[in-house]
Amino acid sequence: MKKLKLKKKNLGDFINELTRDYALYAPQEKEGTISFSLVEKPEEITLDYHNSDTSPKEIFFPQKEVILTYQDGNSQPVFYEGKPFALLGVRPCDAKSFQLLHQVFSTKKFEDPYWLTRFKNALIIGLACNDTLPTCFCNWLDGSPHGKEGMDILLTDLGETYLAEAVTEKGESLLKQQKDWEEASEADLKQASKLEETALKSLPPKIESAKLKEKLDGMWDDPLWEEIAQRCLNCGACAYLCPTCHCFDIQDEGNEKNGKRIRLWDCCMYPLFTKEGSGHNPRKNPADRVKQRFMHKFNYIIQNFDKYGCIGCGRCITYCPVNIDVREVLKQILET
Amino acid sequence: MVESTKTYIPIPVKVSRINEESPDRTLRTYDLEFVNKEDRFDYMPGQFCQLSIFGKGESPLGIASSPTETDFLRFTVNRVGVVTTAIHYLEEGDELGVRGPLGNYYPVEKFKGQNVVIVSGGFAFTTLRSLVVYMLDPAHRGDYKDITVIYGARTPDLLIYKDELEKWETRKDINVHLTIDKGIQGWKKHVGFVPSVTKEIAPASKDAWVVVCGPPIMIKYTLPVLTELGFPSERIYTSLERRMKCGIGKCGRCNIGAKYICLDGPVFSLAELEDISEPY
Repeated sequence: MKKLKLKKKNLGDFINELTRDYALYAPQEKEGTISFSLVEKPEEITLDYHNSDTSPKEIFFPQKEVILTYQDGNSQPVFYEGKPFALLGVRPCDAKSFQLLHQVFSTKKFEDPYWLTRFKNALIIGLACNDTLPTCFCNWLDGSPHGKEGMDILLTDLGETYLAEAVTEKGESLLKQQKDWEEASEADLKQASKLEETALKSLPPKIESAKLKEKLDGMWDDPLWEEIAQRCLNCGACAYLCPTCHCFDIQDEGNEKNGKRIRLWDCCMYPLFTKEGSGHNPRKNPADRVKQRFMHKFNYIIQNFDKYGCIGCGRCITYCPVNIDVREVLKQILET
Repeated sequence: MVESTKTYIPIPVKVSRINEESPDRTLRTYDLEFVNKEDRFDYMPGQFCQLSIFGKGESPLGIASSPTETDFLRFTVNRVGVVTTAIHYLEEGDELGVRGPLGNYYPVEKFKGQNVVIVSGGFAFTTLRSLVVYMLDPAHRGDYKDITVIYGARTPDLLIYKDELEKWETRKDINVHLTIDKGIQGWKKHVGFVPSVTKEIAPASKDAWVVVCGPPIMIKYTLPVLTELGFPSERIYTSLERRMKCGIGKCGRCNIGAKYICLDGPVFSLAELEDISEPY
């Protein structure tokens, strides 16, 4: 696979090129919040960032999405019809989350046409983390600050230039088109691996993550869930920021004749999530719901998809209003 | 793999017949016909559909008709929430939508050459009606040995499909035992809760499979009786319900443990459920 160098002063040209063929999304700061937004001009984007506050999953799985419109009993699906998406500057943890979501939405008998329409032709250009945050823990969950999983191209910031490594055929063919980019030298690659080493060292010491699933198998009645639930406000901030949460609700907007059916992110922390028409709620206590969240991420998803349901991005740690720290919970699970 | 742009699009159906199942008018049976004949789908006893009313939403309901009844899809709807109430306002000729068939089905292949016992209570009898009608069909009856139905409700009025139950009672190729919780004048059949009546009837467990569906409390007390009668948990089946949205294992709310009721169920053997910590 190709390994080239993109001079930072030429980044604007590259962005302009991408916007011709793609709906390009990249990190942009708006009112103090960094999110992946549609790029119109190269100067809008910021690649000098730790991670976006919201997860870029929202491009492929929007928080609110019309799935069909109906009129007089007839309904039509509504699909994204724009240019294929390109994401620039995706952190390795988030790129990994797309792979899990893709498994959820495209395997187990049924494909989700809305996810597939948005995701299948997308170009993912990642950006290695040279500098990690105190809340980062991707190394606990098969991730790495320079991980390439889920990307077509990985960029590594080398100061004046970005090292651009093709990861997939699609990335390779895009790099082949970049006639004026230099080949990366041995020294460049050495610098990148040094940066990776430094980034890895800045992460917290690993825990025995491989044992989490088995530990949780025996923790159904553990007092830990009640202990966490006593602090948890059931606000759902963790789920809305989580790059791997995929639960949704379906609601109708309109009257019986005309309207649309939409799907919206939903959250297992809310009592209504499982409350049935009869009034019965299989997860009526906050502890039941806290347990569902951790069991899903660190036991059920492993059973169903053979990977962790968490990528270690740390967004839920940063934003939890009562400071519930998933890393502490994982340590508690292993100590049980 | 179901690869379709229509995954979430309801198929238009029309109400062809409505039957009031209970005097309190909370239970109604709807027979539905496909508006476009080419939309007709095959299904198996135990599967369910999402019934869709535009402007209100969708509700998951077990299919009460049998695949052998090719002219209609039948659902018995308990009026509890927004969608089921809207369904109750429908009249014959009105249109609604259906998404399905969803989920797995009763293991009718495994039942072949064996005795089948069906234990049920209240309005959970819906997909069991589908199963009974399927097995009684002349094309299938020879595949199964004795068919026994034990079915109870609080009062005679609350037994659903009463006309059909009466016909089955007169047939020689099915044993039907009906029970009500407390005796009333004129009732000459069984009296007592389903678990104790099951114990009294004591269907033989040799070469037999049992399907049990009903309110959680009935299931809770029936399972030990079945175990006592010698049914191993691999041969005890039930069907579960949960709040659902997508019906295809994506929306994330109907799981018990790592299993999704919409995708891995709704039909489970007791053996499968015993491996799951989450209560069902």
